[in-house]
Amino acid sequence: MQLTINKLGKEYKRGFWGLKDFSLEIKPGILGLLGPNGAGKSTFMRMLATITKPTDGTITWNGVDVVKSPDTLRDVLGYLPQDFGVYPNLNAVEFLEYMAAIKGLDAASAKKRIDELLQLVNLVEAAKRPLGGYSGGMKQRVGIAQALLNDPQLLIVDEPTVGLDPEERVRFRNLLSDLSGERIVILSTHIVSDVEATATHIALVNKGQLLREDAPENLLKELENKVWEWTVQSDDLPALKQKHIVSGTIRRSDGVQVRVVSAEKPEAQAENASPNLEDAYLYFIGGKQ
Amino acid sequence: MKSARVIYHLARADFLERVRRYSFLVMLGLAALLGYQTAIGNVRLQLGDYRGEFNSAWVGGMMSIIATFFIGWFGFYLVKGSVARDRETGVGQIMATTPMTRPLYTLGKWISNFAVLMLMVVILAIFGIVIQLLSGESTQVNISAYLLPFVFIVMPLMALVAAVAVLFEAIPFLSGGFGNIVYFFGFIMMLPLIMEQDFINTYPAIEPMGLALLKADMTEEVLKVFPDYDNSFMLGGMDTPIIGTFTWTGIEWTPAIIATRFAFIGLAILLTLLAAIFFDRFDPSRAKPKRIKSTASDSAPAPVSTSQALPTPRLTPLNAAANGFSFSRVLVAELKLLLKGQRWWWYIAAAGLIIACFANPSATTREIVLPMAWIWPILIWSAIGNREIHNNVQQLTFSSASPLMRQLPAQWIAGFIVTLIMASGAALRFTIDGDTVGLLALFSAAFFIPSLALASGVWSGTSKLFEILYMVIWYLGPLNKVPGLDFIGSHSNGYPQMFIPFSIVLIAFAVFGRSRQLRN
Repeated sequence: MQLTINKLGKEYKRGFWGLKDFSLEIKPGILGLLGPNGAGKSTFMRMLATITKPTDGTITWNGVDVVKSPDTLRDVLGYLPQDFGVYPNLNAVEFLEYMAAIKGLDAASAKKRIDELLQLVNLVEAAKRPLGGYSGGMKQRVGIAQALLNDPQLLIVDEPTVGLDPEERVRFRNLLSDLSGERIVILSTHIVSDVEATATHIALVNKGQLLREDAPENLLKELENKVWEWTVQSDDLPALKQKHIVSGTIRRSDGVQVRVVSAEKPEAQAENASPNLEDAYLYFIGGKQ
Repeated sequence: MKSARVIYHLARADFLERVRRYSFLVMLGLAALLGYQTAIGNVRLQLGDYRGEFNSAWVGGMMSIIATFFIGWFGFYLVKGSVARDRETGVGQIMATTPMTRPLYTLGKWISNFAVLMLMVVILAIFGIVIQLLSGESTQVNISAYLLPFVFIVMPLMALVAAVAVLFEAIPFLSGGFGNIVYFFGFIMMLPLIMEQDFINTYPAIEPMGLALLKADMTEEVLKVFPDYDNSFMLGGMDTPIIGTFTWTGIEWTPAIIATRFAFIGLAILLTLLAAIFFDRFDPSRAKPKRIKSTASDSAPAPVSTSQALPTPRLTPLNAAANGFSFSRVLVAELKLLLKGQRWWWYIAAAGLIIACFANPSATTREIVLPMAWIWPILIWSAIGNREIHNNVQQLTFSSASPLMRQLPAQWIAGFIVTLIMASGAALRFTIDGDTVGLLALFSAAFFIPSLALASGVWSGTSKLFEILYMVIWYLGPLNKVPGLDFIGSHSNGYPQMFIPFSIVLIAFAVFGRSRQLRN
């Protein structure tokens, strides 16, 4: 099972490239996509999901060109877009039955799967209510359920935990980890802790280009001796933010404890701290913008 | 002062948002097409067998009638939707958190609607000048005689149409497809109703479209030259030949007439303020709640302790045999999507119409009952082909396998089945009576309706285009016997030789449109 992206590009109007020269080889596991707003993550995911046609480059699924034969991938694809709707007059069961039918699942398997999925996303009690009356978080859970209907080999989820309460978020993260064994999961989110908890690989994207792709531990290793903590006076903070990448601040009785990402020791009193993914994100993206 | 600034910016932002849309170019194109059709003589004003000399007053009067009739009728559909856009984009919720009041909002929308309509009127007015000069009958352009009918007749009506559009959007049950139908028939029925009133002869300026005012003045002039004038007044094609022309120099705009006409602008403002009363200010809690069968446990789920261990999610893996595409299941699902969401009385009325089709003689069914049965599901058909876009589900459905081969045919067949169900009583009646011509017309119409719905839905992405097209065809053909448009065969054989091939073209057009959407 392999998804190969080679020199992928998408040009929008007036020569603006949403994504350019994007190459990546993805194997089973969870790939976390991290990048600022407008970095090209959603464009990339829509192209993988066969919704948007690339301007340049190729996407191959197990050696088959997806742009030429999109159904090869669609048969094994589960996709949760960032922004999607539902049919308000159908209830969750009817909507999932509809999606199962167009995804080509047989009736018996679909029924069993829908029952399991409704339990999984905690919608059993609301399953017979029209979707028009669902809250944002409940609709998001219906979206998650539909993405998993066909037991996809490639699962693409764009900001999946938006609108979920903390408990549901943890459930979903556990679910992703559980699912990732023999399939490819591509997860895009702004919530770094979601990626930290689940991703086996991380791709950092900015301005339509792939900056880095590596295992989280390798990214963190690169940041060893580059994260510093010390306490400053509140008045000094604005000047410090101008000078360094500040990844965190904590108010204390004697001032503000700052956390700075820097290749050099920024101040004499600064002490080395253990890096986390948020530091890595800021170092690779924030510091290089 | 502050309020004026709010209204200005509301109207300005709304106007700019509209004019920067592709659909706005289409609107202007339609106005230009109307002007062109008038320029080449396909649309013209006649008083019986006579017409006025093409001087500034006559051309101004004629273009004013064309503007009030066509832009007044169809312009409503072009400007309606601005409040809905604020609702759909979420901008409305942001606006609702500002000090903006309901009247300011509706006034802003009214001004924007009015500006868009008047822009189309300006295009027609420009064509009018060209028409006068091309005709060569009078080369002297009298600006005031030409423009005053636009100012005193067209402008007040456009203000009224703009206000009605805001009012319809503010009233929940008129904001959707039902409102579109109400306006269509309201507009077309209003004119004869008002013209029949006696007071119109005394105060013609009271008639909102200005037709009575122009007719009264023009009639006076034509009778001086042609005493045999039969009092008819036509706006249309070139079927009736012109046997004489007369010179009409325009209306004498007295203060009373001007005040009456401008009173319509006052009425428009009142309607806009009335709309403010109904406007929910984007508060979803003011919407009528859906009737949901729910138990107490549905509305108040038992609290879950966060300290308990979260269950580990487990899903049974699907085996390869689970892949079993069944077209019939997609079709049933599409049928459910079409038919769900109607109130109980909708189904009762539908059943009543089906039975009435069967219970009446073949001729009555063709002329009256079947056309009624085939206008009833208009809002069901109008969702075909655009439901995915309307509900923002397209990313989910278009990323499923073979959307072109699975979903699109199922959508068309579901529409075809609904159409046939509504005509089942008529089909049975025609079969029993041996009315094979009626039966053939019925099937060609049943083929045509979902095809038109699918093509319109796919290409426009909204339900509005089908609703307007279908109502126009239905009104002109089966109801008003316009040859070639009587697709049901109410007063003819139904033209299956034309509608079946045309339906095939429409289906091909829909397939092309959907494949374009999929290619993005």
